[in-house]
Amino acid sequence: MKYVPALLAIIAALTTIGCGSAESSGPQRYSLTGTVTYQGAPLPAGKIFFEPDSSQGNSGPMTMAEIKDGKYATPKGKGTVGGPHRIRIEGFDGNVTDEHYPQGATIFSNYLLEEDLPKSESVVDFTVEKKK
Amino acid sequence: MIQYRLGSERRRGFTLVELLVVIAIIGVLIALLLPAVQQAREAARRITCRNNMKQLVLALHNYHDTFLAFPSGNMSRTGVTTDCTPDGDQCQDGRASWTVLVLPFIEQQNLHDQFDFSLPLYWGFNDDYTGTNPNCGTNNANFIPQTTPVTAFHCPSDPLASNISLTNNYMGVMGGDTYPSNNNGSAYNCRMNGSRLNYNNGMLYLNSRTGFQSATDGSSNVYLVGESKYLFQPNFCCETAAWSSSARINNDDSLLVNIAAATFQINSGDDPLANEVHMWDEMSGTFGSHHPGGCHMAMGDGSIHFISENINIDIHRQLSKRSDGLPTGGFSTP
Repeated sequence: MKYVPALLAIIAALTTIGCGSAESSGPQRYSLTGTVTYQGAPLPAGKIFFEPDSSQGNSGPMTMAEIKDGKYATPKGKGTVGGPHRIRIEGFDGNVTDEHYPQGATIFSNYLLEEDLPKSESVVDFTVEKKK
Repeated sequence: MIQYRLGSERRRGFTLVELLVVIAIIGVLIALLLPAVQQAREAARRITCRNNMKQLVLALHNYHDTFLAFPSGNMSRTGVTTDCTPDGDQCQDGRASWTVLVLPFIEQQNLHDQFDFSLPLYWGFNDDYTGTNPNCGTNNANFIPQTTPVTAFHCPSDPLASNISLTNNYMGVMGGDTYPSNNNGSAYNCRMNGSRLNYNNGMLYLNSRTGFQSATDGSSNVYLVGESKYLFQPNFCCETAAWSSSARINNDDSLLVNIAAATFQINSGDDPLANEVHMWDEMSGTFGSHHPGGCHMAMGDGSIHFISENINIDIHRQLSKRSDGLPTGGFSTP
């Protein structure tokens, strides 16, 4: 009976190896988190889109993150590639009164900015300066 | 001298430890085998999925041979390609989508004959497909054929695509580009809240009449049909669509159905298996699948490629445009 814990440990180890996920292909991606501020307060709800700026020689996949209570985080495994990016922010007030508007009424839908994002896991904060 | 030991051996049972070791080894082997079995099943489903897409693209080619043009992606009563506003009556304006027009070419002539193309087609239904949403009644002769399941539009990898499902996993490609810098989701004024996109720079768009000659980039460099898991299903929020849904033509509350644009990254957006998920932002601007790592896209020449969800977004968009004149190097297929 003294072998049972050891056996269980071996089974657990082998199962973990057997279920390991495959390496994902594609460029190196870096997760990005941060805050979005609108008129001095956290943006209640919205979405933020990161597109590599091809006019500045950058290329790669696009990334989208949800903004909630002023905070955003890129989805797991789907960060940005770093470098020059075009960034678009959609803002909503977060008061859901109609099921067709899951993030509330639109405050602004197309706030555009350009930013050179770091090539490492990092925190980048954005400020939406005026209604666009 | 050699001595032999004889006698004292006798048959005995397994000890508990031996039994546990055997069970443990069997358990480990099964644990190793199960993921491989699941992967083999998904691989088989993926091949069926790809085959269904191939049949649809061949059907589009045969349609082109017969009528000298591809079918319109969506049709409206007014026939305008750049505006959703002229009529704005969502119960009266929708006409057949490409999915209905290709039926005779996928061995569904009988179903095609049940449609009355002088009448409008519905765009939305309630969750059990017993009525229409918004309420346009069900008296129209097109209601019954529209709510008949056609498995040719199902990708078996999609858990929502059961035999009785009315979903469509294959969207026509209406074009695509960077998100429009105005608020209107492209050149024409059809957008309400969220990313409902309207493009006419692809192959199958609102009231389109394109042919092979329209794809001046070369038919092997332009998307014709793409895989999707975002068509409104009963478990999603709000309205429900079907493979037969027409466009919703309702001024700034319009929505194109069964066609999509390459604007967002493949497989980005919400999980369609979540409860009451809201897909207004995904359906018309995102392609995606339940296969790991990407989705299938069919080119104008009929070839099917598995496109990675990590594709350079600019190349994805260039491939969706029929005549942008840009090179499309750098995408590869396994």
